[in-house]
Amino acid sequence: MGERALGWGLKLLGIALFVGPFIAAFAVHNWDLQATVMPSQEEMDELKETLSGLFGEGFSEDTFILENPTYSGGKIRIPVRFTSPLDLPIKITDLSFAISDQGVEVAQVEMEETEVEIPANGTVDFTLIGPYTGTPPTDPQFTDMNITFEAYGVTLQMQVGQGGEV
Amino acid sequence: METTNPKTSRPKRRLAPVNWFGLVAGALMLMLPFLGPWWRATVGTGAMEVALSPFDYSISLLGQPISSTLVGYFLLAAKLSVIIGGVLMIAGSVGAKRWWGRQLVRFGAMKVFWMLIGLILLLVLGALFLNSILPGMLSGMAGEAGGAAMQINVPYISGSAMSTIQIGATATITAPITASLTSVFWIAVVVAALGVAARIYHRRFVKPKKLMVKPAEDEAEDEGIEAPPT
Repeated sequence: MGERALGWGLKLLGIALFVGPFIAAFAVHNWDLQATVMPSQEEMDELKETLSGLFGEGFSEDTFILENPTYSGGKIRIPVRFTSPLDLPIKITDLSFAISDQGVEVAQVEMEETEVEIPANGTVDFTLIGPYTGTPPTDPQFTDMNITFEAYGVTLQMQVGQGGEV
Repeated sequence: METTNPKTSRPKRRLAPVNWFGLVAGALMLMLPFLGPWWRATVGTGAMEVALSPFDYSISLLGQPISSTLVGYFLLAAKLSVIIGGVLMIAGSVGAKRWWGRQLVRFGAMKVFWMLIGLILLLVLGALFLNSILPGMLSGMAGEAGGAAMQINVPYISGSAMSTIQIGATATITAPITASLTSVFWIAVVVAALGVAARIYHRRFVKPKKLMVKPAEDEAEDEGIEAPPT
């Protein structure tokens, strides 16, 4: 009798520990399935705010400013000022593009630095460098732009075909 | 020649039989829910962090925590279940020859074992879903809106992998994913093994039912097995 009662008691305890959380969780959320299973609206709002806040005002023509290039020793050097619109620290690990003059590719430039770290909403200066011989281009265009960012260890690589004037 | 005086020598006291495996497993079961996560995964360097155990979980996206009430209550119940199981296991192991010993040990013995199996299944099925099913679903949805190819590589249980999302021909997002089992997982493996051993070892304290028939009752009493109250 006692053994059987204990057996049933333990079985019921096991069932209660399995079914109880269901009932308790639904009861605290007034039997609302979505509120019980999904994260709270407050958490979702905070997450949305964090994600939308990351991109700040977004990229604009002031994000990358290419200064006047210099030509010396068979090389072209283009100083770049990058103003991050992002609310998070990022790294630029690659920035390269081709320079064309009158429709003919005359140079290929890439970052002199291995990588550039930019604090949230910060500004950094770095240099693009590439081999160049001949006279300075009269109507320079940059094409085949490659840029690689890294944030939180996640890499975003972008390729842009046609650019603007250097 | 030395002789012993039967009047002064004390009778040898036999220690009550104890299921030592169960005692140790029960004690560890009381600690296990408070030792931390059994498994961790990270996307990038903190873009997303997941820490799991059958008693607790934490998911954060860019440092922002995400939670579910239902999951929280379930894990709380799992915690209570293992703590109660641990207490009953200790009681059943100490009173190994009592009529209730076997049932108390049985209640707690396999709990951590099944939790381990459950967690491993969850991780394998979760990785299978993320690797094989989700990319197809999301690529299909994105395809209608412009085109994106997604290749998610989540390690099965433990390891590192790279996942990529190709958005058209212009952008590629690459994220390293690292997953690992923590030392607490291996403690849980030891607890589960001790639980299974305790259950098997406890058989030595239980007489087969056919010996418990009326004529053998005296013999059972001699062995020290307490009969259940009627």
